[in-house]
Amino acid sequence: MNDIVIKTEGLVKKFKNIVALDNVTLQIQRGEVFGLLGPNGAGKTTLMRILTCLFAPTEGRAEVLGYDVTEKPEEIRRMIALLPQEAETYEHLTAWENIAYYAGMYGLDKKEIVYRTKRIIELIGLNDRAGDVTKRFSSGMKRKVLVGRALVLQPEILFLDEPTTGIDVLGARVVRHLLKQLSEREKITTVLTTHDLTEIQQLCDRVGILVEGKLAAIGTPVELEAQFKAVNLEDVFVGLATGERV
Amino acid sequence: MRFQQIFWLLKKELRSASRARWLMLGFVLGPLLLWSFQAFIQGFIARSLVAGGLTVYITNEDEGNIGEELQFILNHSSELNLGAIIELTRSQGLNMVEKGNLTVWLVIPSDFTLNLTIEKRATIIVYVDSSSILASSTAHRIEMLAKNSIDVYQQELYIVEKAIREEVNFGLTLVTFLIPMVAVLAPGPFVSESFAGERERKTLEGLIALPMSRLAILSGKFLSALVLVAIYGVSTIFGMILYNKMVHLLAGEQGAIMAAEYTINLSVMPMIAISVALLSLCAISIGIVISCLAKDQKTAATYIQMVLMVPTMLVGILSFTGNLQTLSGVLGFAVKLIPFSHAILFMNGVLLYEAPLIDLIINIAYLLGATIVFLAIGAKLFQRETLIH
Repeated sequence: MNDIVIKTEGLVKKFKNIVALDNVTLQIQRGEVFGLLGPNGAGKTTLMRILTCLFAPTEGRAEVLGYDVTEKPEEIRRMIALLPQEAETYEHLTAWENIAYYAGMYGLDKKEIVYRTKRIIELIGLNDRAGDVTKRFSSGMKRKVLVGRALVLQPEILFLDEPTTGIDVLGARVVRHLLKQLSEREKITTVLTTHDLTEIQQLCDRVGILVEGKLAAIGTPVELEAQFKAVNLEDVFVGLATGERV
Repeated sequence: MRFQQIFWLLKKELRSASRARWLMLGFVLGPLLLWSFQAFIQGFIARSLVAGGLTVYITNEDEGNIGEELQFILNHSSELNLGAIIELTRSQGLNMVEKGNLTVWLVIPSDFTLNLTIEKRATIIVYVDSSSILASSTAHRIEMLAKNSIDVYQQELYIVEKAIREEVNFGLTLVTFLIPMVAVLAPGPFVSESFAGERERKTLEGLIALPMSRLAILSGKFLSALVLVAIYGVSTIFGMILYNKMVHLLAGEQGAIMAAEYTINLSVMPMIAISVALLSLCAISIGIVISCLAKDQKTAATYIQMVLMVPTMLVGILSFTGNLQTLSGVLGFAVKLIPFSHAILFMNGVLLYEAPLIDLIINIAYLLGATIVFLAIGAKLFQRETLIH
């Protein structure tokens, strides 16, 4: 289990005068579910966008699956999948079409597209609604389709940017349950950003806490609680985010 | 693999578009409704032109007898369907012209018979209120009848037509105003939805994270726009066929002659459809540029409407009033810089007068060139598409 698939060294990202990421160094292992925790504007999405080759870093370097993000973005994109924050489905397409479309965009042949789409539809539990346009879906169901869309690519790394933000409690529960199942069954390396501590505790093997662009702490929830002598992860997070001991 | 990706993107775009009813309505029903509307206007005009009952004034100064014969023919022609023919003197007529009380006034000069007898040709003057379509049409029919009557004696009749008011063109000039307007505005919702809409729904981020170049994404989207434009072009041809049928139907037997003049020749239909399609394509390329710059779909749609509608209206009004062709100087140059003006000039050239082929080629080339330039700008902007919220 010592196979590193994501590696960053001294990663810095600046937007004019704003430092979004400040000297971030981390490593993520194959099969790991890694959570990026932080308050709004901490740099979680920026880090994810660098790792998915949507942003170039200002300084430092990032490697995904052995490729540098600035040098081999297409190679990396072939092996990863991204579920962007607050992403929507194509609402005029059915659940099946939404998923098959992404498979098609990867250049798979028709037989393979049908096989994978069918499997994903079963996996996300939407067999009965596969032929319905997603316009009529609840937020939780739409998110399931989006997760399915990312999974159809059979990625080596799955990036989920706040996968439960903007959906109701029940929808969030459905998505978390799906992600839990996936991590157990499929063993896909997953990087997810969130500010939801429940999500971290339920899903993640390790967590990195970002505060004002800096990686303030990294480790398993238990390790972090011990390191900061806190009762729970929330205390660790609040302490780091506010600079106060709880 | 790239072509396969573009194909999937194209398929997705078209499938989405086909399920957005309001969007398809614009592309398929738009031209049909528009041409039907035009047919109503044209049919009404055709019927009005032969409605008859118009009072025509005549001044016969001819010292011989042919003028009198001509007046007799006019008085007793059922073909002309005139309300009344009132005689007046030249000074009375000129006085009425000054006051603008005349619609059609025929002046047969004193040397009319003499000229016809000796020179075998003579001239009559026809004053017409050309702001009235009925007056113009009546004058036209009087002139035709007079010419034919004189022609029997193998003598030639010249007619000098004088306008009582400024000339106003109706009918087909409206086509060159309304059709470009709709062609320019119809693709707006598709473009704003396809580009700014993707960004707003955060689906663009997922799309550009795929192993596919942004140029390939843009190509897929543009190809789907091309398909929609082709649908629009085909629909335009059907619209024109429908228009021809409706003009005849609405004009009735009475207005059949005029209706025949207003129908669109089958041979020019493809040319109109092509110019309409090119116009839409140019509008799409401008829309892509705007969509890449706008932060959300609503902003993009608003700017697209504004940027496309205002110049099209300006050029359309200039065309409608007959000033587009004659406009010169800085203003003329500025107006002709607007790509849409070339589509309107092209349509004018095909529909209203026989423009030289080279002029038509220049119009099409300019429109095509503008499309390519805006597409290149759009591609550049899309290449730099950022995701900062």
